[in-house]
This record gives sequence, C-alpha cells and structure tokens, in this order.
Amino acid sequence: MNKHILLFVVFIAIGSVLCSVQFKIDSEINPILIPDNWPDPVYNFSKKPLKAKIIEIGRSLFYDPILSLDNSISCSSCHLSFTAFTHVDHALSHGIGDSIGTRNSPVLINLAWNKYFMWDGAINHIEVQALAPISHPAEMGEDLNRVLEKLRHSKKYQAKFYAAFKDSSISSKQLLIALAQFQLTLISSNSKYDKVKRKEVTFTKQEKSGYKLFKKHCSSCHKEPLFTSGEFENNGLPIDPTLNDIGRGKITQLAMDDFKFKVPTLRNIEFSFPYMHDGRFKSLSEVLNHYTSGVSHTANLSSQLVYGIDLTSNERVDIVSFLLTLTDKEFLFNPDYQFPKN
Amino acid sequence: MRHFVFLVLFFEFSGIRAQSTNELKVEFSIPKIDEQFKLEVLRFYVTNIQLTQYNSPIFKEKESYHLIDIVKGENSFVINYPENIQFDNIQFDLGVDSLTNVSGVYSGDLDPTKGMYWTWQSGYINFKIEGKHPESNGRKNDVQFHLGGYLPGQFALQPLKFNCAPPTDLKIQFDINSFLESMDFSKEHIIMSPGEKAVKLSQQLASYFKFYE
Repeated sequence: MNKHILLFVVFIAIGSVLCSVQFKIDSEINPILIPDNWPDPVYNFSKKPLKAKIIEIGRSLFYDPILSLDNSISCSSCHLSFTAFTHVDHALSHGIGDSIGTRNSPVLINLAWNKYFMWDGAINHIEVQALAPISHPAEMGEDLNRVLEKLRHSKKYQAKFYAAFKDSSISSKQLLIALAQFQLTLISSNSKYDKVKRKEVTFTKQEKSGYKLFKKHCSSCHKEPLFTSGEFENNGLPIDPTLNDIGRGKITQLAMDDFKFKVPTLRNIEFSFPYMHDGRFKSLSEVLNHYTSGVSHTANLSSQLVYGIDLTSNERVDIVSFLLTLTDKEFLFNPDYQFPKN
Repeated sequence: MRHFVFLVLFFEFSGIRAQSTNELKVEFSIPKIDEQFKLEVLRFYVTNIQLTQYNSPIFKEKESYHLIDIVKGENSFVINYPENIQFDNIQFDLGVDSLTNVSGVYSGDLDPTKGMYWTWQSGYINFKIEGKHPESNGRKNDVQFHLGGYLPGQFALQPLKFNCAPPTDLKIQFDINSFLESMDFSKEHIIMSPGEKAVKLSQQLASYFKFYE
C-alpha cells in the first residue's frame, strides 16, 4: 500500500516537472500539455476550454471532403498529418477541379500560439480561419450555408453535434469552433531539440555546432521555442513575376509591409518541403544557399539580412543537422491526429 | 390572498419582474428610390447602442449587435431599457467594433452565414449595398459596395447620434437617393475590401442617415 502511495507521489512529481500548465480536455483524450518555458498561448483556453467531443467533430470534419463543393477536397488533402500537416512535394496548393492556388500550404503546428494565420496574416483568429479555404474558389469552393445543409442531412454529424453541444441543429459557430479545437490540439513539443532542452538526451557534436550557428544567424526571426517570432518579414526572395505576391502589404495596404510574409515555424521542417510561401525551394540546402548568396535587396528587406549571412559549406551542413533535431515523430505519427476510425 | 399569489406567479412567469423595462423601437427605412437604380441588397450593422442624457451615457445595451436588412424587411429592433431612466439622445455605431473583429466566431446577427463576414480576410462587412445602375461599368451594370475594415488606416465604423424623445419610436431614414446622386458609377462601382476608399464611402453613407418623422 505504502509502495503505491510512494509511486503515486513520484508520478505526480515527474508530471509536475514535465508540464507547468495543463489544459484539461473532458478526459477521454490526451490533455494538451504546455511545456515548461514556453510562452503563454495566444488562444484563450481558460475562456474557451477544449472538449473531447468537440475535438472529435473537428477531427472528422478535418478529414471530410463534405466541406468542399464537389465533395472531393478535405482539409487533409493539403494538410497531411505525416508531413507536419502540409502538402509535401507540392509548391502551390491544390483545390477542387484541379485548380491551383498561389501559395504553399503551411504546416499546422502549435497554432494555439499563432496570432495571425495564412502567409500574409489575412486571418486574425483560428476560429474564423476555416472560412477562407472553404469558400476560396481554388480550394474548396463551397458556400458555408451549403456545408451546414450537408452536415444537417448527415445522421453521423447530427449525432456528433448533439453529443458535443446537446443540440443537433448544427450552427456555423459550432462547426468553426470544432475545426479550431481539433487544430489547437496539434502541438509539437517532443523533438530531439525539446528532449535536449529537458536534459533527456544530448546533441551530437555536429548538431551542437549547428545549434550554435542557428542561434547566431537564424533565431532572431525563428525564435525558440516555437521557432517563429510570429511576425512578418521580407526574407529577400526574388519576386516571382508569375505570382507578383506582395504578401502582408496587400492586407495592411501599407508600403512598409510589401513583400513581407509570416515567419514560418521550423518545427518538423524535415517533412514540410517544399519551402517558402510559394514552395520554390525543394531542399534545406537550397534554403541555406538562398540566405548565404541568393538574397535579393527588394523593398523592406529584413534588417537581419541586409549584410547577408556568411556560412561555409560545413557550417551549412551543421545547421541542417540541427534543423533535423526539430523533427517530432510523436507529433507526426500521433494516432489522435490521424484519420478518425468513426 | 389567493389573488395576490396568482399575481406574483403571473409576474414571475411572464417575465415582468420588479425591475420593469420600457421598450424603444428603432426602425430604419429608405425613401422611394430613383428609378434608374435597381436595389438588390441593403444590409448594415447597428451596434453599441447607448442612451444618453446631456451627453453622458445612461444606458448601454448588452450584446448590442443588430443586422438590418432593408430588402428583406428586417428593418427594426426593440431596445429594452430600465423604466426609471431619462434620456435625450440615442447613439450607436454603423458597423462592428475592432475587438469583435479579432475575437473569433460569433452566432446570432454576427453569424458568418449572414453574408456580412469576409472569408478571405478576417473582418465584418459593416455596410453592404448592391444593385444595378445603367451608368455602372461593372458586369451587367453591377454596383457592389462591401464596406468594412478595422485595422488602423482602414477603420470604417461610423458613430451616429440622434435626438430621441421617448415614448415615441425612433424612425431613421437612409436617404439612398442623396447617396445615388453623390456617386458617379461610371468611375466607381465596386469596393469589396477595406481601405481608404471604403473609409471615405462609409463616412459619406453615414451622413445620409437622417431622423424621419
């Protein structure tokens, strides 16, 4: 008996060391763990707590092409769990009827810390994000009212919404909250980098050297521990005349924001190729070559890039070896994130 | 005694409690439109309603968001205010405040299915007017103004204020003909995103809201 109590105490102690804050979801599902030393999430979990049954709806919807006009495209068409919730090997995202968009589909990682969504920050809150892909003619091309009609005719969704909201009438608010709640559970915090920070494992010599270089040259924008500052920067990509994308400037209509795009997280970057807002680089070495020798001095170039980043080829290899430590297999292969069985 | 109990029960169940309220009906209308213009959509948000006395707020309506749809005839709402207050003015905003614009999804009149929320960019459309005018260079003479914006430099919400003497209902007319006269649709027939043009037109439109007997 005493042994049990002791085990219990040890368990609690370990638990409290591993996670400082824990937002409880109704049970049934793994709670969301906010690791130590992470900033507070942007999303207000205490005001809008997650619920297992709502997350379950969101997960079903995320994988369901019912959201698109011709029932052919789901969120997961461009955001695959195994590739950090992006569309591997596709520079620009696909939509209904083989249409092609103008941007590379972003990863869906640690979204609870995002203040802005989309490459240009056009969306200001995760709950209204899904409205964009649902209605965009080159994505799902569907009308929100028609989506609701289809869901209301589905026995499966009637039952799921009733179970979660005690109401089977299915409103747009419920639909959007459900999609948001599922995506808020997509937290990656168990990469080798995280384990090194928790002193569970150590970097190799090369990774350590890469980390040092990373902190010197990259981390002002790709800020730890989220590996993004969440801000908008012009990283000196030569302008693609077939797209002429001015990014953030289109949203704020301020010249000082032209050619700026949201700094993406680098977590799971091993799997999220191709890179950049238009998917122009296929490999990490191409990305590093850009920063060392390809930066174009367009308007509003990030001040950190004005004098270029000088890296030897060995140093570039070291940085890549560090970036690979941001791969989180527990995240990529988390069964709670995958196609739902029911 | 029995009657008294019944009376209490009646008040209890009918919702008429000790603190009773008065009703103020606010109604929006438009005059007969100049024949050239074929109106298809006229929808706008009336929010943040306050009753004031000598310029200081006496009563603020809670959850104060009302979508007015003139074409559909959904053109009025009722404000319930405490019986014991005095006021001489009513003020409200034409449009949705910035905080609501950045706080996620809402239901009721703010539901994104109402066609008053941009999808490609977060934010409410404060004022939507669509129709056809022979001078418009748009496809099929379309005229489309979707006005909104909450970011600095794009802030399109317009505060309005009217004298208001209870218990008379408040009738406000949107003088659409003055608006039509002020426009040159051959030059400007479409505004669909926030920005300088939307702000300017929002200011202009707000000036055509008038007290109507």
